[in-house]
Amino acid sequence: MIAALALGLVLTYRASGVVNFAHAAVGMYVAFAYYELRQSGELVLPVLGLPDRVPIVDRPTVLTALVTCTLLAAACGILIHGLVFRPLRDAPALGRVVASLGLFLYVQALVDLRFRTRGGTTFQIASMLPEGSVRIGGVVVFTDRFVLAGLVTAATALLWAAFRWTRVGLATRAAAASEKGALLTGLAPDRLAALNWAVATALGGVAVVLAAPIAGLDPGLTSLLIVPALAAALLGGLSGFWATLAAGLGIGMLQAGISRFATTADWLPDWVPKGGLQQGLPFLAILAAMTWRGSSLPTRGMEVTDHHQVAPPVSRSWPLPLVVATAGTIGLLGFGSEWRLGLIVSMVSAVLCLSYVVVTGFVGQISLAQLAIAGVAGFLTARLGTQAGIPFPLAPALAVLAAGAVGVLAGVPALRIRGMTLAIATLAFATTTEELVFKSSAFTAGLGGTTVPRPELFGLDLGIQGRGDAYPRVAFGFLVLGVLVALIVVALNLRRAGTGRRWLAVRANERAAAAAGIDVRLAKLSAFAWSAVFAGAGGVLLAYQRTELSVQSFVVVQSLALLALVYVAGIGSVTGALVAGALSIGGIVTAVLGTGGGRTAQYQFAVTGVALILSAIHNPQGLVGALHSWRQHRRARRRAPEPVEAAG
Amino acid sequence: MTTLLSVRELTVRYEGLLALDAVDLEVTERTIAGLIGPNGAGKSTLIDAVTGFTPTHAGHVRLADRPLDGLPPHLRVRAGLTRTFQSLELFDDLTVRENLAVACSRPRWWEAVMDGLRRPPVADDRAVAATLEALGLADLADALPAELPNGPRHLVAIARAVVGQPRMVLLDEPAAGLDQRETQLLATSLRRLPDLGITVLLVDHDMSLVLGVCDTVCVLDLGRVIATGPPSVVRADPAVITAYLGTAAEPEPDTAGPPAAGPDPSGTGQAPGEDRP
Repeated sequence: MIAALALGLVLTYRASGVVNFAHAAVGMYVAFAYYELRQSGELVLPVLGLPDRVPIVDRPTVLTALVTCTLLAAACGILIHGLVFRPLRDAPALGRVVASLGLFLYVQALVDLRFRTRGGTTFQIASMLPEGSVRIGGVVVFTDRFVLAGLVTAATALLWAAFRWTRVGLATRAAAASEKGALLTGLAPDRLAALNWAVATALGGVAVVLAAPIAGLDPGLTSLLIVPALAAALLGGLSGFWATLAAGLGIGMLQAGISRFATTADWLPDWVPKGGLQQGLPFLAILAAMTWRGSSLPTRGMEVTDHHQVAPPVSRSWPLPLVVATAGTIGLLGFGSEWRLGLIVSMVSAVLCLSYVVVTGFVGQISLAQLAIAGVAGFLTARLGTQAGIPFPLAPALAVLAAGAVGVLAGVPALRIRGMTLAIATLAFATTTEELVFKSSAFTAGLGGTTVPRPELFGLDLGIQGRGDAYPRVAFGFLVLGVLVALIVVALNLRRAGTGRRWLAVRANERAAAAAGIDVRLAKLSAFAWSAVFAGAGGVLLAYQRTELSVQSFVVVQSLALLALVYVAGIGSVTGALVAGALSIGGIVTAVLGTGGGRTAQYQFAVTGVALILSAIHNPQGLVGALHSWRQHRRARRRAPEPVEAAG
Repeated sequence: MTTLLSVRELTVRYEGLLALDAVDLEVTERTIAGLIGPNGAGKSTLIDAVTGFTPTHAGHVRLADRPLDGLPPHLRVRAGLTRTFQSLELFDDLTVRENLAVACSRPRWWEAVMDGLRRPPVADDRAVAATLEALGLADLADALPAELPNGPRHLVAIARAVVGQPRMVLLDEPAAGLDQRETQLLATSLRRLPDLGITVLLVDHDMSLVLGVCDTVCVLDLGRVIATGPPSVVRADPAVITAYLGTAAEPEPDTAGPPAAGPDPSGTGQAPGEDRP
């Protein structure tokens, strides 16, 4: 299945230069639609707002359902291409990443909303492939897996042949090489790309459908299969079908092998997460391989410049923190229980968002590992407080420092890879951390939960717990506000100092930065370290706010959602992080708008997803960036009746 | 007069293609050396290899007896060897002043930590101001690179390379895309650099510029040095004429020949077969 998904990724990448993070999620939706169709005879449509479902036939056969869903998947592929990625053809890498993250969130929310999935799958998933097992060289191989591998190999052969010998394949290769050239020869690159998208999505959908009996179908897990699939696609160099197939099958077999090894090896200590080992280890290897293959500076001829959101200059460090402190104080003292909670959630999110502003906004490195780093700090705080008995201000401080160290580790791949590839590498890092660290009983008390000790300073209770309307306690609010204001000052200092200038220089152009005597590695690592410190502080606050932590507290999906929010708000400035915090799920804006009901979060994910795609297409500068440009435009018009000589 | 930059048997291969074939080059301190050659001769590769942007397969680079082999670019910059890029590659998010300030600060690693915890120190920008003044950019200091006309943009790129008081600067086609007036302005600025203690290696296609400002000229073809010497000697070298100016060209072309050899007033001389974007 990994191989099949990876093939789809390669196909879309070759068609339109996009690494589609939502590929597995779309496949998952198709699989859900298939099983729903088999069960109820109704086809679930992918667009919120249209009627939920359309009855097709009463008791569809396997063939009917499969054909219907293949068509549905192909239609989704065309839709995604036309609505999302075609308008983004010339957009910066970050914009495309964000759009595909938006798609990911949307599909994820769609599956949660349309199929009643919480609390276990409700489908009977019957295998369509022959069951049984054969022995090959003393190893038992299940027939269904064997057949699946065979089918994927056949698909690979078909794709390879099509790309090599048919007119359409040739045209796709031509269009990938030069879109203008393809246009001149009378080919329609858009139609070609749409076709490739359709094939890729159909392939992914069918793969998930067929593999569901083996791998299971879970809204939380299936869409994250994107990570190994991406890894396989990358190992295949994002272009070779056979190499991708080999890499995909290899990763799958490696995982199966590790899984068997982990369950049989008794000598492994208890704290090693058995399930996590299977997921985590291959990524470590892939991360290493990707890092090793990269180059420390972009070479000549490589596309080095990318458009970034503006990072508006900051002239003074004090006004913004002052405004935040005042507004926060008024809010904490004046609001009722519900709004106060919203405000606190927003402030915690803003701290997390600041970490994105530093690493992605200021230095241009796309990191999807921030929430994993926050998790490390959060769990450490709990661990240090309960087990080691380290008191309040010290335990979180140590945790934040540790987060900084982890951030440096997460930043190592960035020294040699960049852009899309780096985004994938950090995603792999986050998943590895989740699987190997968060699921380890030594660190987080396993899958259960960890209680976070109450913060207390000089006998003053700074915890969030209180009775009735006293929850959340105002004192905790001030703790959060204090941390937020302090970190805003730090972020503004960094932006204004030499470090900030060097970061922006690296963001603008790594080669030129090196030529200006800037240590690019130091700049990147220091940015990752600082942003990890911010993320760590956010993680600690999140831990105190939740009072109990589990593996679910820091899942990758939320990391994606946060990055997306900051991008929409404006990732180049501290103000952007604050706006993103206000807009965050469960934050002050949600509280004030007064939405209720358990489904809100899902709808908000869906809306965020759509907003993300739209803003990547229409407002790549972000809210704050757009405001800044508008203000500058107005100032320029007022100031200069005689414009400066424009062209030489 | 001592040798500042010394390149010995420098060899660079790109996937089987021999881009530089045992190139020897010496540049005397406080002079302007020119490097010319047809497209694909390896001029930019030479700059990349000397400044550490491309790995070399053999040979040595020394700056005043200090071996630079294996050092990453930013450490070569700190050793006193800077460069510009053909496509300028200015920092678009920073003002002209900040572009220069970034290039002349030499921070220690802990400053990346300290900068978050203290008030931003007031930068000492005397070097920046002096360089801006010297290149006539003082009025444009607070503009963003995108707002500048072409000529000043080229000067900003040079200013950024010399603001840190390097011993040597390598200029990669600084006159590409400039008109005649701008090129003359550039030439005036270049002649000033040796007096500031900066040695120059100039790569350009504009022959009147190269022959006009350089003390020595080195001609590269297909990764090999085919001639070295004062401009007047190189201009008359038969091998140079064959390789670079085209076999048909006379040593003293009057009308139809390429503008390379004479003090051609058009000033935008380009090599035959050149295809500049």
